[in-house]
Amino acid sequence: MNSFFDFNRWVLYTSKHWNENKKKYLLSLGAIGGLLILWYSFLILITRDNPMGENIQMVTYYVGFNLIGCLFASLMFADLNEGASAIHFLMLPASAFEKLLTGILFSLVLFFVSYTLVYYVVDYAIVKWISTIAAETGHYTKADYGFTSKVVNVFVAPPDMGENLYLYIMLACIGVQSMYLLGSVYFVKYNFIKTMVSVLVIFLAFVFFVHKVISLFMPYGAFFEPFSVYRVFNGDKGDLAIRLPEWLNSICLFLFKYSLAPVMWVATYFRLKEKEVNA
Amino acid sequence: MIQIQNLHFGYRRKKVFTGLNLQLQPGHIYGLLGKNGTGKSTLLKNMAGLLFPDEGSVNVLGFAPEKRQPAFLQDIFMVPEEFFLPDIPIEHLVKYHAPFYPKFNDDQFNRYITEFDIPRSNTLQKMSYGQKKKVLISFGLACNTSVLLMDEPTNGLDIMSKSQFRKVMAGCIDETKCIVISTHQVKDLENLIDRITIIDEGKILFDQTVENITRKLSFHISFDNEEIKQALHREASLRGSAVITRNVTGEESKLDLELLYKAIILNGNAIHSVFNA
Repeated sequence: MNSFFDFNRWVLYTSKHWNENKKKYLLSLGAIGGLLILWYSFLILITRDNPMGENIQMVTYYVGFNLIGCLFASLMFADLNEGASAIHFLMLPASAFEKLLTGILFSLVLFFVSYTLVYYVVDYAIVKWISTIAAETGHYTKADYGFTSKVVNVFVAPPDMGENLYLYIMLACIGVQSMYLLGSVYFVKYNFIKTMVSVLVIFLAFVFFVHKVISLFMPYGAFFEPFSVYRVFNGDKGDLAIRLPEWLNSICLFLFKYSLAPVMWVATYFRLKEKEVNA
Repeated sequence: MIQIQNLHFGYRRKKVFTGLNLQLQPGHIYGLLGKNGTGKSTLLKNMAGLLFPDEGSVNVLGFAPEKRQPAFLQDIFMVPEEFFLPDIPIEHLVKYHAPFYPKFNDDQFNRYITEFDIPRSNTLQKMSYGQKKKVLISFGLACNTSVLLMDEPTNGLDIMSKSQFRKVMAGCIDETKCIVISTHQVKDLENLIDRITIIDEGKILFDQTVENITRKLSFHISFDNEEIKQALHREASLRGSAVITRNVTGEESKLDLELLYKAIILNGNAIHSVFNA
């Protein structure tokens, strides 16, 4: 018997997980739809110009995706918060990897698919409704307001913003959600808040390290682009730019973009393996 | 089947075990007795891989429990004192959980459910605490795992259910299984367990088979002042004194588990002298 991964066992575990949580998940999707409707209704009430501009749709999608995604990921291993449910979870005959894979499937993959689906259902309905109002009453149609009746494609950025912008935003969102997934295993209680505080502390420590510690060893200057160039300020002879070699820069950029989420998953896996039930 | 060697374990501020040794064999129902907070649940969790030893080794069915390998988990079942069951109907519990346990027996499960008088129409969360516990016990027994760990299984059960529990348990043991029941309600396990292990202050205070106990000790009510005075342990009651004496006649008496437990806790040396002789 494979102790690490067995496809049939994983399918079995995933169906068990779905069966036990489907009510909760379907209700959550309903709640997401309700929240989006509330948010758009609020915008319609307070905005005199077009409340469904492309930017608003885009920002709504990504902010909602990240906030709800983080909340969802932080609840993924909520069973581990309490002794009784932790025993139920840990004693179930499936490997830690299979349990993690199901966690990733539901909190990242299926969440992404279902959130996007709910978003588009609500977005399409509201845009159509607004268009009808605009056609009937003439509201929101002044040229200044940039009225559009288009349902925006959230995966394609306008050319002036760089074609891969949304890919990077999506990768960053998945990376952050993966941190919350780790937080749901790492912390016993108040996972969401503790993860948020931890991420903030790590970020501040990083900023402090870059600006206060590294600067002690470097000549007077600053990082640019964002860390691939170090510009040494020299008033008399002119600034001097020290650039990382292109290949090293590409590797660092690649790792920065694509490794955050997998690193978090590996950490979650080991944390899951070493989890004990003290309560 | 279960070998614990030189187990050291402690929580942050409290040492629980310092060099505990214990061996459990298949074909027995072990009663793990002890006061609250003496480490019974901690020991079960170490056996189940829910807590990891600080030092020493725990070996269950040839596995290191802390690795929680699926092959190990599918041959061990734990009924914890505080348990969780998802909000699903009984049928779904069987449909989605039973496939993880290769030796699960549907007929056996249905028999236990009927025996425990559990209504099938409700989802698990709509059942009372006692009913849920009985579902979990039934499921655990029907899994037919080689090791079954039960932590205070009779807590929360009414008088009828306790008697049903004893009846069900008595019928499920065979030579391949090892059942460990931890409890402080010793009366509930009378006539059920065949080996008694008493833990106190993280140490094994007493570990004997029931057969050995009843061969060496006699439990009876006495009105004879001389016998009462010389008894290894005595307890006054309305109808004479309940005493434990050395079994000199060779006639086996009915084990009074509660009396034995008190004797070992209060007067351990006298009892041990009989077994060490």
